[in-house]
Amino acid sequence: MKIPADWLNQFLSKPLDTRELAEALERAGVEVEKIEYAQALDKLIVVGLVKKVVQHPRADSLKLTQVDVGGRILAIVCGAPNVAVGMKVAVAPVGAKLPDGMEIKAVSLRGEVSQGMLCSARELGLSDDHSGIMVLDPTLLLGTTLCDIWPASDILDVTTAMNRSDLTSLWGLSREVAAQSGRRVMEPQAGELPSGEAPAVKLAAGKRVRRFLAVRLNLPPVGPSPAAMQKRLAASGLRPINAVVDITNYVMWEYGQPLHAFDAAKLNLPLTVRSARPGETLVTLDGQRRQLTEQDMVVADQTGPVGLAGVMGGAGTEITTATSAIILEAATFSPAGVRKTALHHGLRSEASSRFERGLPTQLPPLALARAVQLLQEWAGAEVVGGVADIELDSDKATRVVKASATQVTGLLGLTLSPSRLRTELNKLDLATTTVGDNLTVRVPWWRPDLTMAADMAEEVVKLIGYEQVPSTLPPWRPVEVEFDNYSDLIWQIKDRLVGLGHFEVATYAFVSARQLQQQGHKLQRHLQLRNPKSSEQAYLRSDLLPSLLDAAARNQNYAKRFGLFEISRVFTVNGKTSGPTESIHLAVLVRDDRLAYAGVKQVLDLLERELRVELTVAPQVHPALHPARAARVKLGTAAIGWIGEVDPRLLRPLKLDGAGYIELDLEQLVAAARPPRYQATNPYPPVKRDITLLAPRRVGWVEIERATRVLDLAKVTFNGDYYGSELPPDTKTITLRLELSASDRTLTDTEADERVVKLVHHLEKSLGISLRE
Amino acid sequence: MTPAELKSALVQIAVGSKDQRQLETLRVKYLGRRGIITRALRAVGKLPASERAAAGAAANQARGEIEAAVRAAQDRLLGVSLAAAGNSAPIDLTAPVPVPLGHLHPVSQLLRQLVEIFWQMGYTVVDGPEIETEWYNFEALNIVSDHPARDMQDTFYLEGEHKLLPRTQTSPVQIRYMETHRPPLRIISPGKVYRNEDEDATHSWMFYQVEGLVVDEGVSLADLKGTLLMVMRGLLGSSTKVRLRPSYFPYTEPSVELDATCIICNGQGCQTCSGSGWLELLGAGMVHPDVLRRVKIDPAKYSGFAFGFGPERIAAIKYGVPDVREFWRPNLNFLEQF
Repeated sequence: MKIPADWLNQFLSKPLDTRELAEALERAGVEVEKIEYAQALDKLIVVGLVKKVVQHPRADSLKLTQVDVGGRILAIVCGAPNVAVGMKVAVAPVGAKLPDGMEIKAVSLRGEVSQGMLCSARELGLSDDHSGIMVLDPTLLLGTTLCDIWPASDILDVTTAMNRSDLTSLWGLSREVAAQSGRRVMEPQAGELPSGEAPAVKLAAGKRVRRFLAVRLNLPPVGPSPAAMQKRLAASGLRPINAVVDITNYVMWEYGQPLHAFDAAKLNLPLTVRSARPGETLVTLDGQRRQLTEQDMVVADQTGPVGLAGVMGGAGTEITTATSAIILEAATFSPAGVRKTALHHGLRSEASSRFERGLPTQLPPLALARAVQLLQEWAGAEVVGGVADIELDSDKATRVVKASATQVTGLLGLTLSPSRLRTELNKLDLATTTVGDNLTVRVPWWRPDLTMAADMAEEVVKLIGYEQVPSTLPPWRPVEVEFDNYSDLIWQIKDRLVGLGHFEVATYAFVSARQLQQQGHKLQRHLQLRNPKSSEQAYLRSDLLPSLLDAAARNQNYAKRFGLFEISRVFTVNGKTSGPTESIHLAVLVRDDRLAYAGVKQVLDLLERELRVELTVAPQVHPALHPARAARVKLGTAAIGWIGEVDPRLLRPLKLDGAGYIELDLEQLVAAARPPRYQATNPYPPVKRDITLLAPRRVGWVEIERATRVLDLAKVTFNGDYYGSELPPDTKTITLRLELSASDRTLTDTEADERVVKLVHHLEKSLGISLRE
Repeated sequence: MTPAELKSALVQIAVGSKDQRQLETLRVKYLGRRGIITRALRAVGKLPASERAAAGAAANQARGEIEAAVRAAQDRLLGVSLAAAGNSAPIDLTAPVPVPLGHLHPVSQLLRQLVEIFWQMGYTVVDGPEIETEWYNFEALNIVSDHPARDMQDTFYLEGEHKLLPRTQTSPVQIRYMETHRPPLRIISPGKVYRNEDEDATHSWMFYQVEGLVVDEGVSLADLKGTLLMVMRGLLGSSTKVRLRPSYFPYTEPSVELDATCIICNGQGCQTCSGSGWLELLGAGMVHPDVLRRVKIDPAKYSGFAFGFGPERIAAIKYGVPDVREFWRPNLNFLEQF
C-alpha cells in the first residue's frame, strides 16, 4: 500500500519527517518496503486548456492541439487517445524538464511542429498510469504552476500483516505512528448520516453479508476530482477517474472501508445482496464478462447482478459524465465469502483484499458519512432522503481481555511493572486497568486481532522496542536424550562418495509424464499435482533416475567421466485408497564410455565395506537399464534397489555415451549397518598362489566366492577375468589370488599345493569349473 | 696393513672414486675375495696364538672402516647421480596433479554445519514426511482455509480425494513430534519444502528449510533472542550481533524477524545488505497457545519458541551466489567451486 507522507501526517497532531514516519511504522511491525522521495515538478509545467483538437494529416495516431496556457496558445502534437476540447491538462512547454530527467525540445512530428507536451500521470512522476494524458480539475486557473498546487510528497510503500485489517488505512497506520511517537491521532470529522426515506435494500446472502448501508445522492454533471485529491490518489497508486469514484477511493485509503457508487438512473431498486444464479453473467468494471456461479455473492437489482459483492462493481452501472444521481454503498461482507469470489474469478482488488482480512461492522457508517461529506464538498452532491442500514450481526464496540502481568512479562523475558504495562497499552487506546498482577484491557472494535495475553505482550514489546529484550539461554533439563545414529552414517556415505570423485547434486522433485513413461514407469503409481507449474513438472518422482539422467545430459560437456549422486525422498502410490509411500533413496550415476558399470559397482562394493553389510547382485531386467546389464540389489532377501548400465537407447537422445546407475533404499541399507568386529591377525605370513580357472560364463564371481568361503581353505580374492574368443564356447577364464595360511605356522609348499588341489576339485564338482592348463 | 696404509686407503675411497665403477674397483681391491683386507683376515689364523687377537682386531677394525667409507662414497656418488636425474628424468615440481575429489552440495555443507551447531546446543534432529495433510501443514498451525494467510505460502496440491500436499514448511514435523513427545522439547527439523511460486533470483519453488522448536516451562522471547544469537555466532562468527523486528505468522505470538549483522561488511553497510548493515535471516516467534493446545500441551504451564530459516539464502550470502536457482541446477562447473 502506497502512503503519501503528507497525507499520513495530516492524521497526526504534529507532523513527522518521512524517515521518522518510516521508523515508527517499522517499530510497529509495518514493513516499509520502499521510500520514494519527492521530486518537485519543474516550475515550467503549468495548467493548460485544450482549445482545439484536429487529426494529424499524416499520422493516424497523432492529433494536433491548440492549448491555452494562460495568455499564450501552444501548438502541441499529442498521441494520447483521451485528449479532447475543454480538458484542463498538465502542459510541459519546450525547455521544461520532466521528473525522469527528459527535457522537452521543440520537435517536428511528421512535419508538424510541437511546442511542448501534454503529460500523463507517469510522465509527471505520479503513478505508473500511461494510458492517456492526466485530466485535471476544471476549476484550476490557466497557467498555474503545478508544483505550487501540488506540494511534493514523499511516498512510503508499506506491507502490513494479514491479521490487521485496521492497518489498510491511513487512520489505522496513524494510530500506530502516534503511539510510537507520542502524537495524537487527528481523524477526519464527518457529520451525522441523514435520516429519511432510504433506498430499498434486501439482504439474502446468509452470513456472508453482515451489514449493508446505502444512500442516494443527486449531483451536477460529474467532473474530475480536485487537483490535490488527484495528486494524492495518483501518488497512492490509484488512477484518478472522476470525482465520485475518486472520493470512494480516497475514503477507502483514509478508513480502510471499500465503498461503491452506482449510477442510480441505471438501477432498478431494490438492491439485493444474494448468491448469483446459475447462468447469470456480469461485465465488471475492468470490461471482463464474468460467468457467475452460486458460489459468487453479488449485489443485484431487479434486472440482475450489478456488482461482485466486495470485489468489483459492474460496468453497466458505472459513473459517467452523464450521471446525475448515485446510490452509494458501504457494507461489511464476510472475509471467506469475498475471498472465494475473488479467487474464483482470479480478481484481487483493493476492495477484496481489505474484506478478506475481515472488516468490523463499525466501519461502514463512518466511511459513508465521510464520503457523503466529501461528495457534498467537492462534487456538489445533495443527499436525497436517508440512509438504508441493515445490520444482521455486529462486532462488539469493546472486548475485555484479562491477563496477568507476570504472564505478559514472563513471555517476553522482561521485568516490567503492571503500571508500566498499563502506560504502554494505553498509548494504543487499549484502556487498561490493573489490580495487583491482574490486567483488564478494553480492546476497541478496530483491533479484533487482540484476544489474549500473548497479544498484549506483543503490543507492549513493540512499544518499548525489541532492542530492550535481553539475550538469555533457556535452561535445559531433558528427561531423556534421543540419539541420532542415522545422520552420521549418511554423512559418512556422502564423504566416501565425494572421495571417489563424485558430485552431490540437488534436483527438483517434480518430473514430467514423458520422462516417467520413457523410463518404463506406470503413471498411476505416481503422485500427480493438481496445480503444476507446467506439464514438465506434473508428477512426483518415484526414483531419481529421471533427475540424474537429466543432470548428466546437462553436463555432458563437463568431462568424459564424472559421477553424480543425490540423496532424496521419493514417492509412490500403491493403489487408489492407500496413501502415498515415501522412502529415502541414494542414487549414483557414473558417466563413462567404457567402464560405466564398474563405476557404480565400485560404489556398491564401497557401501558393503563401509557399512559392513552384504549386498547381493541378482541379474534382472529393468525397463530403463541395459537389457544384459541390470540387476536387483538385495540385502538378505529384501530387494533394496537396482544396479546396472542405463539403457543406451535412453542415452542416445541425450548424447551420452555410457552411464552406470545404482539406486538404493538408504533407510534399509543404513539400518543394516554394523560396527567393525575384531579378528585376530595372523603372525605367520600366508603362502600366495595365483590360479586361473576355466569357468562357464553364467557362473559369477559371487558364486565362486561363496563356494570357496564355505571350504575355508584359503582367502580368495578376484584378480581379473577374460572373455577371449579362443576359449571354448560360453566359457571364460577367471584368475583368483589365494592366500593360504595356518594359525600356528607358515604352510609348507606341499601343504599349500594340497589345499589348492582340494579347492579346485570342489569348484569343479560344485560349479563345473576347472583349472586352466 | 699399517695405520698409514689404512688412512691412505680411506682417503682414496672417499675422494679418489669419480664414479661407481672406480669405487667398485677399489672395493674389490680391499674387500674382494682376494682383497687386501680379506687376505689380512685370512692371514690372522696363521699367526702365533699370542698375536692372533691383536692382529684380528686390527684387521676387523680396518675392514669396518673401509666398509663404512665405501658406503659413504656410494651415497655420495648416488647423490651426484640423483642430482643429475633433474636433467635426465626431469619432474616439474610445480605441475598440478588431478585430484579425483568430488564435491558436497553447498547447501548440504551448510545444513551439516547447522546440524552440528544445534547438536552442540542439545537439539534433536527430527525428520518427517514431505507429503502432508492440510491439517498438519496448515490447520494445526492456525492457518485456516479461506484466510489470506494461506496466500503467504502458495501451495501445490496432489490429485486425489485425500487433499494431500507437498508440505510448504517443515512445521508439520514439529506438530507430529509434539503429538508423541512431552516437554521439555528441543528439536530442529531440516528438510525440503515446496511452494507454488514463480522463481526468481531469491525464490525457487523447492527449497530447504530448517525449523526449530523449544517448549518448556518459562521459555521467553529473551530466550529466543539469546538462542538465535548463539546460533548465528556459531554459523557466522563470534562477533555477530542480532536484532529482532516485529512480524506476523499465524502460529506464533509475538512473531518476529531476526536480522544478523552482515557478514560481508561486518555491519558497515554494503551491496549484499542493501546498505543497512543487517541481513534478514529468520522468522521466529513464541509458539501460539492454540498450537500447543491442539497437541495437548497446556499453554498455562508451558511456553515455547519456534524459528525457521532457509539455508539456501545463508549459503547464497556466505558464498556470494547471486541467484538461489543455481543451487537447484545441477551444473558441475558451479558445484565444483564448493
